Amino acid sequence: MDTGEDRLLIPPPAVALTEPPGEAAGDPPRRGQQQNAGFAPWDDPAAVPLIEFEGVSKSYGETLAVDDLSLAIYPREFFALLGPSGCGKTTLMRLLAGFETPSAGTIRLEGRDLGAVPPHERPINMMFQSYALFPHLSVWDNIAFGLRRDRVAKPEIARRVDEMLTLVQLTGQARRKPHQLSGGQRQRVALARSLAKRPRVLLLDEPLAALDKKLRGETQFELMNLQEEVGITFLIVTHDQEEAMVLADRIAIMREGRIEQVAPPRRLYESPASRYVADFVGDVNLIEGTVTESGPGGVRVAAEGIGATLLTAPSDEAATGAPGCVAVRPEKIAIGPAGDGPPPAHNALEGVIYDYAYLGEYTLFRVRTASGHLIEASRLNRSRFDDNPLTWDDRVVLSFEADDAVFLDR
Amino acid sequence: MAPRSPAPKISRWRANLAAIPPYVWLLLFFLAPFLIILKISFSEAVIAQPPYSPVLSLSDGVSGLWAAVREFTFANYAFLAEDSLYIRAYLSSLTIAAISTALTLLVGYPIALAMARAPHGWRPLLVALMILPFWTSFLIRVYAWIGILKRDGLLNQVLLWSGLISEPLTILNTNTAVYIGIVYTYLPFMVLPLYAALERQDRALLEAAADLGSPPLLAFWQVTVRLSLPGIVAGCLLVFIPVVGEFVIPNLLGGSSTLMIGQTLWDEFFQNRDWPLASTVAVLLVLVLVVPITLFQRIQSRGGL
Repeated sequence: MDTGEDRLLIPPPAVALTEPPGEAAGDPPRRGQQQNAGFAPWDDPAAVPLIEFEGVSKSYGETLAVDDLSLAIYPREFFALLGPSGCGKTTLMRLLAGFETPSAGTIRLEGRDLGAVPPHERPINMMFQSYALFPHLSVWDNIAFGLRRDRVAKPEIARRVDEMLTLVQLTGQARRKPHQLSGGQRQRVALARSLAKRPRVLLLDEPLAALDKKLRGETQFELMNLQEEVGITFLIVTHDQEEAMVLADRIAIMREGRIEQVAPPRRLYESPASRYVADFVGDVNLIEGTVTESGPGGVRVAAEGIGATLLTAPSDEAATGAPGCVAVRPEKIAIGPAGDGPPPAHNALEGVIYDYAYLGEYTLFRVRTASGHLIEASRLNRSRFDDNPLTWDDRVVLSFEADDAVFLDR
Repeated sequence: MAPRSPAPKISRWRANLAAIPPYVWLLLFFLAPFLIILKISFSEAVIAQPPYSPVLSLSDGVSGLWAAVREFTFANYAFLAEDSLYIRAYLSSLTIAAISTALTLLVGYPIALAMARAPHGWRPLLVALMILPFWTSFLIRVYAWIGILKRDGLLNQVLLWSGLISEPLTILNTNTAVYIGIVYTYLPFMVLPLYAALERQDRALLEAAADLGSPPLLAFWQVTVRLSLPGIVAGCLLVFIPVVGEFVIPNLLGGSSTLMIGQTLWDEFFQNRDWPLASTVAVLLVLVLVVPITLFQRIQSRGGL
């Protein structure tokens, strides 16, 4: 292979990065970063949080499960704690439920310190991962369990239980025992039971983990609609990023007891705060380099390893001379045969197709650059026909818009 | 569709075959001896070898059997009803069995709970420790209790030395000693089924009860105790049934006032050599115990409580 031709095709354009974007280089207008413009109390300085974690730590002997964590969750929010197993997300939820006591810090609900409040007195209910349905009680009695503790009058209990059964569409199953139900039905009983007391906060511990994929997808939307209907704040713990993105208004990515980033799904995916977040949520190409220029027009990064200079969206973290990386998602990268038409204006890399996989809705290509790096690019299969077939060892040009790549310094 | 049916038929036949040995066992070692005892209970005591009459003999054929059956008497049953000693012995046995079962449950439940809540790695060791006493003779262990409980025994020495008492306590040859012996001996039979029931309990259930508003003690009652009920029933029956007929412990640790049916049975059989009456006592004991056993079976077959 002739290395001379495999180098970056196009020299970086002579765009002054101090100029505002979208004019000089003919960039498309910047995409809005705000989704769900109607509901965003976290962006409103006047909003009062429902739950506050303040410097909360939890250690088990030597290991820190939760490490000096602060977080605010707002009323009616659907909030997701997302992370790999052992990241402390379950511990954080159990701290809120009262099953664990923090080693340090305070947890407040509606401004009240929960420190001395035992679990059975907290207006918080939990849907357990194992559902934890009482096996000796019928569906009806399981749902009524919490109401009986509240000394609710009998007719009121009956009314509330029936209401819950209707909500989760289990009216016909009221007299059954948990072991007579399917997994999906059990999950709905668990949900009804935890909602029956109308808690201020509902905690969901991997609520859909035990369901098969198809049922999970349906249930996710049901859960979302339900949350809107009952108007209760939901806090969900999950390791499934798709689940978190479907359900949550905001997602906190946790790692080793700390929060890496808290943001709405779109911001999390499109503007990750760190390599870890970028890599954990979805697929990403991370190209290491050094900042050569940074301004409101973007960040120019000399990616020595791959032998190219890349331009990304502007970043406050990028200081000239600092190391960092360019993160760009596979679907943001356009792939086309080399030498076909005029080369892209910037951020173009040449390589050969090392591997590809047809996945139905899109095709994933793994392209090997002259430097030996593998870059992933995906192409949506909009048509039933492959108009532009690419196969192994084809020479291709990869390119992406500067705005579609982000600079990450950590 | 035709080839579908033969295969399950064969396997069902095989499954039935596998169920035969336990029935053969029961037939040979439970039903047959019971029928012999039952027959003797309808006989009369005589000074002969064997010490009862009539003696069934298969050599005379059906007519001989019929002749023997016509000689059967209910006199022994009538005698048991007349003499209050036997009724008192039955009632006393049932009372002692009930009290000691309750005591064993009281002592055994916390032990089983602690075992079930112990770290995973410890549990096999704890179970092994629980059954470790079985490695030495039951009789020796009961004799050891004589050494502990007697007037100048270990317990009294320790209590006197510690200043808790000034006079030695009389424990040996009282019902208290019998209770101590029974609780000690039968504890594993109570703890193991309780442990089995508690160990498989999902700890999240207790948390769920707390989460739904039950304070710790109530949650313990509603969940832990409630769900261990099959274990409680199994443990209680495993203790209660053999204790009713217990002979060795009351004989060695109990006093003259300790009245138990096992002792009565022994006396009739070996002291008075009245096999028919002893058999009658035994048959009635079985009938008394059949009630709790069938109760237990019905609960179990209904799939728990």
